[in-house]
Amino acid sequence: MTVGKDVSILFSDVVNCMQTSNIELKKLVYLYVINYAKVQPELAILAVNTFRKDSSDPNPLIRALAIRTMGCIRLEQITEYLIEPLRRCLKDEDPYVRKTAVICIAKLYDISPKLVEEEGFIDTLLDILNDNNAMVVANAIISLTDICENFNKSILKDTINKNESNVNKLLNAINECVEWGQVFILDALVLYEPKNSKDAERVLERILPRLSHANSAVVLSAIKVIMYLLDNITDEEFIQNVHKKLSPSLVTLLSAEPEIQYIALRNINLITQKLPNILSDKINIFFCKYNEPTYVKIEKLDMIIRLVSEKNVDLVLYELKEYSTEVDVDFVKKSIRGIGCCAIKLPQASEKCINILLDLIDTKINYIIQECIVVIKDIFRKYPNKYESIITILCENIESLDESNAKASLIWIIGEYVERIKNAHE
Amino acid sequence: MIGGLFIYNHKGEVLISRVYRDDIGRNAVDAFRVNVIHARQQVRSPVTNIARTSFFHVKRSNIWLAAVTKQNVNAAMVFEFLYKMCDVMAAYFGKISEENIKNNFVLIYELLDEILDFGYPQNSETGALKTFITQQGIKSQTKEEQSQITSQVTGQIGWRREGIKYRRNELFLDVLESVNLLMSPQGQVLSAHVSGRVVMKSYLSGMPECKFGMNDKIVIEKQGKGTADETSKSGKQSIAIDDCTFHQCVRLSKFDSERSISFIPPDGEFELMRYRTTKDIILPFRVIPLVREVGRTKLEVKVVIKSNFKPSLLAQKIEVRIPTPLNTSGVQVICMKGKAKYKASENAIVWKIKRMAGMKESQISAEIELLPTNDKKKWARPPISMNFEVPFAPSGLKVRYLKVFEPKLNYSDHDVIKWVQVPLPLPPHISVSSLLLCCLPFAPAPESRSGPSTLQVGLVE
Repeated sequence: MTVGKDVSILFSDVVNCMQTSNIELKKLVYLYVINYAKVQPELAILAVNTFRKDSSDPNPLIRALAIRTMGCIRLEQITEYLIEPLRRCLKDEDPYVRKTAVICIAKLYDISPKLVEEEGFIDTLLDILNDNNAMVVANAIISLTDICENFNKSILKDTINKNESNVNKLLNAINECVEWGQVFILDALVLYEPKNSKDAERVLERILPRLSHANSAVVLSAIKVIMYLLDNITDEEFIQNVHKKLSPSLVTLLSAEPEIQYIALRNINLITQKLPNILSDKINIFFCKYNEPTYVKIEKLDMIIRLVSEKNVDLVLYELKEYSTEVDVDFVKKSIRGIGCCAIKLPQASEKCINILLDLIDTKINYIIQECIVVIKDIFRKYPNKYESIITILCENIESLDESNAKASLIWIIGEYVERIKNAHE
Repeated sequence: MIGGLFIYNHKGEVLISRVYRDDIGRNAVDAFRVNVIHARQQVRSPVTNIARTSFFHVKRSNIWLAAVTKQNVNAAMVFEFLYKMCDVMAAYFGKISEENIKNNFVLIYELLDEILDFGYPQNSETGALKTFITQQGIKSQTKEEQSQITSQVTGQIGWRREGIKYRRNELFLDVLESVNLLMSPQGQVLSAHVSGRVVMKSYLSGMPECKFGMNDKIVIEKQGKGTADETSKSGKQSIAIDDCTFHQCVRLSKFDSERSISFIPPDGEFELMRYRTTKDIILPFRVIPLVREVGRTKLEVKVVIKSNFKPSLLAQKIEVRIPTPLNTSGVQVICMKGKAKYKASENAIVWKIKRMAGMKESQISAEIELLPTNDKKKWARPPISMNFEVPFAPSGLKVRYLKVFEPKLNYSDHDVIKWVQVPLPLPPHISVSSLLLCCLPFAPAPESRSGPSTLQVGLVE
């Protein structure tokens, strides 16, 4: 089945095995049924009876397994049979069965939304937000989020904003459930619209402790909610305090696994666009380490260029020069473009940048020379008539150009400064 | 959420495939293989977008794990989930390899069913899962056991089950630190920070409440044990922690309000917290490399290491690795202390010193002969790296106390045997970005980056 071979002909035989009391075998049979129910819908009905029986089994693990599997069989015909066991399990005394049943509502909605609404399951879901087990509440939020996103509904948003106590329920659940539940609840809290600054501050203070969680998804979701709530707060001092707590968390994210670093860097890029001062004096955390994967290095380079200023430009130029001598061609090109950005962004530094670029051209390495020429053309466009002395050096390298970008740049330079160059027509 | 999860081997053959949503079809499996695993260029990004479908992947040794979705999902969560999945699998059957996956595919499907319902991660703590997803068959359980299992999986303390018993109650604490350092060519420190991890192995009975205290500046100031002046006079008594993150068992709201770290630990080994400090860092070693090019066929290298701590302390198992270019034909080394050998298979000179006291200096000089080569490709200039063990924490962290309190089983704090152990997994590391690459005319910069150092933290009573 995994490899892709079609074993659906065995369906009826497999279904006969379902009546076993061996849990492992049961799980495998259920998995098979999930996969092939679409192919053999008539036979899938045979399986339904066993599911219904299992959903009243004394063992809660089996009850939950039955409900979970029934939900995964995506057939319209089966769904009617599913309603009654589902309703029973939603009120089950065991929280494990309840939490599985709650997710089942979302699965059901995916197949036949009308049925779910007719049977009143949406209201049941909203009631379940009052459950005393945090995982059940978290799963209820998951179901509501799933339904709302995929079918463009605003139930969740309306519920959260209906009254204070709903928000408090969610905040309480965050403290008690596992890390994934926390992520979902935090993501749902983005829909909360605080009525005034005090409300926003209150909620924000309850979320701040999440920044110390080991799971970076929790931290990032918390940051998302915090940034959103900050928009609604008017107390300047409070805002500054929050900023101070945000920046160490962002920096810590950069010591995680490379994939998380990549995501964190993309987000930090956006965050600094909104709050430019949050990491302004910490440019050195973005300096690339030798053994990082290229995708992380390229994002870090973006951040370095975004944060460069007169205070740290010397340091930055030094680093960029180092990077330009690395092995990865794409990274080198980006570093050289970075040097160009520094020159354009900070007029005082443009002289130093030009010197560095000339040094790099001296290395006589093909792609470096070409990239430098493209960058120098841009510098000329910004500071016309300033660095003409170097044009002779550029022209010496005309033989080594084969990329169209580089050739076009050099031609433009010659065209602009044609009076200063002898033999320009050659 | 996650629409499908696939595990491939290095050839791109599918080992495990589980689809949660209708919008992910069989062609997604092939698309990933063709576009990522068999792509000609080096993988550019952990997230790939093909035909409006997003593929998130993680690679462990030569096994690819890919999560696929067509919706707008929380990317960080997908990756954290993939890491957690790898941890859970490793906890069940050891190394993640093709053979292990094939031998345990039933288990993996069970796990996938349990921890990823409809594409949404559920409780994925190994301790809880092991109670009802086992590798041996499930014996029939009593009703009590069943409800215990389910209440643990959904309970507030989802990472520890009731009724654990040990004859000897023991607790091991390891502090692993990694010093990251950036130096200018003149030897001035541009930036430095220490990232540390506190790893605990707990073999305690019942549901013990633990409290962990260290010399955190904010806590000490709060308790009035010292103002800033006092602490600076009596040397480094407290450390200022920039940021720390905790395992989910730690009560975060308590930490936020009182700065106290209280938790009920999971059974076995787990990482309690990670922290970062940037002030008052002790750098145990300084590495000063010098390179001279002699013509195109010879390199003369001299590396000096200076130990920078009290003369009464001893650093042990010091190993310095100096990388050599790929076109090296032979190496001659001279060193006063320890033994040095050129290892051609690893392209490095490895210099080992058994022990070194503080405030001492040692050097190694080597002549590297190069084969003449027309190769325009540059040598990648790997950093010099250094491993060692020192009996102190570069950040200055000291464990002040570790209290255990079990209300029901009635064993007191004094009955628990606590160890602070010299750990093994991460040998410490200082890396100096190489000066040895001398194909370029301008002076390369020594960038010194150090790695973890194992330490012994003082024994806790």
